[in-house]
Amino acid sequence: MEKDYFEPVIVGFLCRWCAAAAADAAGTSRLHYPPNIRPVRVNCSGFIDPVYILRALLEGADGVFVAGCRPGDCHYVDGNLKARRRIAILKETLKTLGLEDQRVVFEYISTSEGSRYAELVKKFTEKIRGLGPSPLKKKFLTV
Amino acid sequence: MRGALLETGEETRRTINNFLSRLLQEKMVDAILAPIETSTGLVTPGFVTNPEKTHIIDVLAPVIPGVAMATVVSQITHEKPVEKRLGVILKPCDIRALVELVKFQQVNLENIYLIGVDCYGTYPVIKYKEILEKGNLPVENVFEALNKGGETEFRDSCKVCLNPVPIYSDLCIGYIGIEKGKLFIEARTEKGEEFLRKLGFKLLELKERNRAVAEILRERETKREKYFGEAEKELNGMEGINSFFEDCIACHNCMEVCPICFCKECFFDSDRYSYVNQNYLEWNPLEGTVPMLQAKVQFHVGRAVHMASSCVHCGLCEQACPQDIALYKLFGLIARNIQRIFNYTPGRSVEEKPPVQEFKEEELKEFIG
Amino acid sequence: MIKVNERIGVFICHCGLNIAGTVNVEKVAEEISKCKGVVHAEHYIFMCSDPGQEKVRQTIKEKKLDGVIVAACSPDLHEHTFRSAAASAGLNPYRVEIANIREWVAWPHEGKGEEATEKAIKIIDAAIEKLRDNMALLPVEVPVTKKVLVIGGGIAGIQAALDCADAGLDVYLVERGQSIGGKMAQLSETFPTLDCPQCIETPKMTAVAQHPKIHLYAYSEIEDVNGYVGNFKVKIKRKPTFVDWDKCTGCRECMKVCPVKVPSEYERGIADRKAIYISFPQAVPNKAVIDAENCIRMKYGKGCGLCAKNCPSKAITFEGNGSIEEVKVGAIIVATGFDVMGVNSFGEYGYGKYKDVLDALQFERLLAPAGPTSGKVLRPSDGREPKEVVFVQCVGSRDPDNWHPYCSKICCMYIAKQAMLYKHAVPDGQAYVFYIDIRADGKGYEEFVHRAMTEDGVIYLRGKVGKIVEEGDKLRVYGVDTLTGRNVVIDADLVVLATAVEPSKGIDDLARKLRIQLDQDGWLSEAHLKLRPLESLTSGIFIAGAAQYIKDITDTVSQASGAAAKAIALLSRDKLEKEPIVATVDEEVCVGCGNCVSICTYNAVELDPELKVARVNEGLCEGCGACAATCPSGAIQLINNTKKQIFEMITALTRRD
Repeated sequence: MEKDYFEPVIVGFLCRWCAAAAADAAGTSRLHYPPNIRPVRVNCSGFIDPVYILRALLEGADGVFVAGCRPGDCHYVDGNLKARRRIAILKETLKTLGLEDQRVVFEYISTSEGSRYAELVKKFTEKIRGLGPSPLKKKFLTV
Repeated sequence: MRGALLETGEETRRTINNFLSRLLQEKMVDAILAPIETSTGLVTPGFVTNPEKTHIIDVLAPVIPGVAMATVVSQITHEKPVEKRLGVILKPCDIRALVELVKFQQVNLENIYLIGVDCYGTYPVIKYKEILEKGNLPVENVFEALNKGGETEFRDSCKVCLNPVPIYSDLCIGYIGIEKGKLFIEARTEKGEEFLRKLGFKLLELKERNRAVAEILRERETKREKYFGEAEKELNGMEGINSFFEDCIACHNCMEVCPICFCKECFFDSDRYSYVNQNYLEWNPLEGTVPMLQAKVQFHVGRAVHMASSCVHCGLCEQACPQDIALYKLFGLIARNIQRIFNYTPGRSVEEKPPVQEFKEEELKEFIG
Repeated sequence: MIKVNERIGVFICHCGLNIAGTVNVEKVAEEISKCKGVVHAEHYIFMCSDPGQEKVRQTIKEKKLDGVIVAACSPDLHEHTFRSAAASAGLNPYRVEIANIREWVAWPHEGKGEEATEKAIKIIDAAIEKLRDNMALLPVEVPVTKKVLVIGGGIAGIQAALDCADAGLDVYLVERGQSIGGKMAQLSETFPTLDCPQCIETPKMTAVAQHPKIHLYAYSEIEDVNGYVGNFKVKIKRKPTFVDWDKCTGCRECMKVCPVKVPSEYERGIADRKAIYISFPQAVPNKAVIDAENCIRMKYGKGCGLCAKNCPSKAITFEGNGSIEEVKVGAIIVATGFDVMGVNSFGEYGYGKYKDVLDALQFERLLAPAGPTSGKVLRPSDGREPKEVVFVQCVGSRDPDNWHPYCSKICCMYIAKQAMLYKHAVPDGQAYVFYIDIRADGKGYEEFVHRAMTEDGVIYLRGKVGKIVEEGDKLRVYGVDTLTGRNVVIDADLVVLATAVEPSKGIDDLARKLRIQLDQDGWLSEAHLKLRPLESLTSGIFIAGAAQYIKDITDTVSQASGAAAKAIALLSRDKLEKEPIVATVDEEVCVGCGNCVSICTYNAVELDPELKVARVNEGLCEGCGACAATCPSGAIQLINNTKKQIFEMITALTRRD
C-alpha cells in the first residue's frame, strides 16, 4: 500500500521483567503511542545479540528500540549492563560507518514506568519519522 | 630492558640463525617454530629441531604469507599444551594476536617461549615476490627505509602500525634504533634473561633504542590519523559501503586469515544464521534494481561486531582479499573506534579481559537513551 | 523455517471489546489462516473462559494440532492458563506461544483500527515463526531445601516465622536491630481496639525465642544471596556485639554503670540509652550489645570498662568481628517494614528545631505507659503538661511537588488514636487535627474516628498548616480551615506531625542482593498488584508487611500469614519444577573460547577441560541468555529462543505488505 508520508518500521526488544511489563502497564493505563513499534519480548536485555539489531536494520527496520531494567533492577542481576556493552559496540560500529547509530536506542525502563515507556516510544517514533527511511534500505525502496 | 648487543656486520640473518642454533644446542628449547624459506624465496611456518638446520630460518623476512603465526600456535596448542619446549618466532602483531588468543582459550602458553622480532613493516606477498625477482633482498630494502625514513610499498596496515617493537615476549630480536651492523637481543622476562646469561652474553641497557621507537611512533600516529580520517570519509554511509563492497565475492577469505576469528565455523557461514533475505522479493526497488548487497554487508559488519574489540590491526584481511578490497580501512577503523570506547589495547597483557568478556557498572552512559 | 506437516492452531481473543473494539479480529483470523502451517484460525469472545479453553483443547484433539498460538492479553496473565489447557489435551505446553495483542496493540492504539489490526497480524506472525522451532520440553526438576529465611523481625516477620515454624519448617529469622519487635513494640496503644501492643506482641516475641524450629539471628544482616527457588544459599552476617551472648543473662547491671548516654532509637530520641544496651525491657533476645561508635573503651581501646567490671557473668569481651554464616533455604520472606520520615525535613514546621514539635512516633513514646514519662503527656522542653495540642496530618505524604505522592495510609487512624489518648491523659486539654481527607476504611475505623470527634471532643480542621513559629513558650500554628475559608491561628503547647512513611532504609541494597525489584517509591514490587501481591517476581521470594506498601497491623499480620502459607505450599513438595528455558551448547560448534563462562552471573557454565567445550549446569542456569549473546559462534543458545527463531521473528516483524 503506497502512503503519501513515511511510516517507519520499528522493531522493539523488551526485557520481560521490566520493559515488557512497562509496555503492559502502558496498555493497561490506555496510554496511547504510535503503532509503529513491533516488539519482541525477550528474557533479558543481556540476551540481545547485536547481530539481531543489525539484521533488523538490514531487513528493513527504520529504527530499533531496545529496553531493559534500570541498573540495579535487573532480574538477572546485571544483564542490562552486559547489554549496554554490546549495544555500545554495535552503535559505535554503525556510527563509524556513517549508518546513523541514532536509529538504535537502548533505554532503561522499570516495571512501574508505563507512562515513560509510552513517552519514549512516542519520541523515538517521531525521531525516526524525522530521520526518514533507514539508509540501509533507502537506496532500494520506494517509500 | 636489558639485553645483549650482537655484532652482525653484513651477516644479520646468519647471526640470528646462529643464536637460534645455540638455543637448540644448549637444549634451552627442543624446537623452534619460525618462518622458513621456501624454494621460491617466500617464507612459511616450519619447525626446526636440528641446530645444523637453522640456516633455513628467515625471521626478518618482511612478509606474512598465509595466516598469522599466532593462528599456527593456536592450531598446535588448542587441544592440549605442547609437551616439548618450543621457541616461537613472532612479529609484534603476531604476539598481540597470540595474547588475545590466550584470553579466548585458543592458545596454551605452557612450554612455549616467545621470541619476538622487531618489524618495521611488511610487503604485500605479490610485492615481496617482485622484489625477489629483481634480485634484491627485501630485508635490505627495509633496513634502507629505516635509515632513510619511510617506505611507501609496505602494506597499509604496516604503514600506520603503532607496534614496530613486540610488547610481550621472553626475548626480542631488535634492530630498530640499533646502529648498523649490530642487533640487540632484549630479555623481556626472567626466563629470557636466564637464556641470555646461560649463553654467556653480557647484559646491558640501550636507551637510545626507545628514543628511536618513539620517533617512529610520532610519525606513524600522524599517518594513522590521516589514514583513518580518509577512511571515515570514504566509508561514510550506505553509498560508501555499497561501493566498497560491490566487488566482494563473499569468499570469506578475510575471516579465514583473521587471527581473531577463531571459531570452528563462522557464525555467518553456518545454518544457525542462514541469511535468506526473502524480503527482497517483496520490496519495491526505487531504481527498479536491487544489488544483493545486504548479505555481504551483514557478514562484514557482523564479523566486525564480533572481532573488532580484539582486532590487532595486522591487516591480513586486506592481504587475503582476492578482489583487492582495502579491507583494513574498514576493519581497522571500526576496531580503532571500538577499542577507544573501552580504552582497550589488544595484546597488551594476558591479564586484561577482552571487552566481550566483562562489563563495568559505571560506564558507557552515553550509549543509553 | 517452515517444516512439512506443521499443524498450527491460532486462537484470537476478543477480550469482550477490549481487543475486538479496536482490532478487526475477523480480518486477523483471515490473514493468519493464510500463513504456512496454520491449519486452524478462529476468534472468540473470551479465550480464557472455560468454553474458550475448551475450544483450544477440542481443536488440539480434533485437528491434531502440534502448536498453538493464543493472541490475547499479556503472557504474564494467561500464558500459564493456556499452556495448562494445551497440556491437558496432550500438547506439550512449550508448543504454545502467546501473542500480546491487548496491552501491546488494542489498548495503546484505540481509535486506530487499521494500524492496530496490521500490527496484531505482524505480532502473531512473529509468534508463529518462533513457535515453528519451539521444542517440546519437560520441566527441569530440582531438589528443595525445606527451610525458610525471614528477613525482618517486626510483627510481619514474627508472624511469618511463627506460621512457617508451626508448619514444621526450619526458619532463620534475621533482624538487624538488637531486638525483634519492630515498630509495633514502640507504640502506645493500637487502633481501633486500644490494645496495648506489649500485651499482644510480647507473647509472640517470646514464642519466637522459644520455638525449637526458629533460629533467631538478631543484630544480623544479609550479606549475600545466591541460588534459586528451592535452593537459595544465604550468607548472614552477625554484627559484632562485643558481648558473649552465651554468657549474658540480660540482667542489665552493665547498663546501670555505663557513663555514656546516647539518644535511644527505641525511644525515638526523646530519651537516652547507654552505650551498652538492651533496646527495651521486653527485648528478644534479652542480650546486651555495645554500640562501638559511642563506647569509650571501644573508641579509644582503653579506659572505662565499668560494664565489664560490673558484669556478674563476665560476658563483656570488647572483642570480635562478628561472623558470617551460610544457610541453605528453599524460600525467602522479605518483611523489612518501614521507616518514618527523618528529622530536619520540614523546616517550615520547626521540626527538629523546636523541642515541642514532635513526630507521631515520638508522641507514641510520650503516650506509652512504659515510655520515658511513664505515659504522662509532658512537653519535652519544660516538662509541663500541654493544654493545647495540634496534630498535623499528611506531612510529606500526598505532596508530589515536594515529597511523596502517595498516601501514608495509617496516619488518619493513629492521629485519631493519639488525640483520643491525649484527651484521656489530659481531660481538660484541647486537641486539634489538621487534615486533608479522613481515610478510615477498616473494620471499626470510621466509628473510631467518629468517637474521637464526638466523645473526646477532638477538633478536626480541614486544611493545611502553613508554618509554625515559636512565640514565648507557645508554638503559633498558622493554618487554614478550608471548610469556612478562614485562616486559623492556634497557640499550641505541643505539635505532633504525622510525617510520611517511607520504605525501610537499606531496602535498595537488600533488593539488589535478592534480585527483586522496587517500584518508583522504593517499595518492593509484587508480581501482580492484585493477583500476586505476596510474591516478588523472583520465584521463591515472598513479600510481607509494609515493605510492599504501608499497612496497618491488621493488614500486615494477614499478609505475613499469607506469605508464610505461600512458602509452606512451595516447600510442601519434594521436588520443584524449574522452567526448562536454559542454555544449551552445541558441542560440535563450540570452540571453547570461554566468553560464556566469563559473562555468566550464576557460574552456570564451565569449560570441559578435556573436550574444551562449554557445559551448562541446568540447575544453576536462570535462562537470561547473556551467554548466547556473547557467543561468537552461536554455539550456546537459549532453548526455544534460538538465534534462528529471533531472526525469523525479525523477518516477520519487518515484512512489508
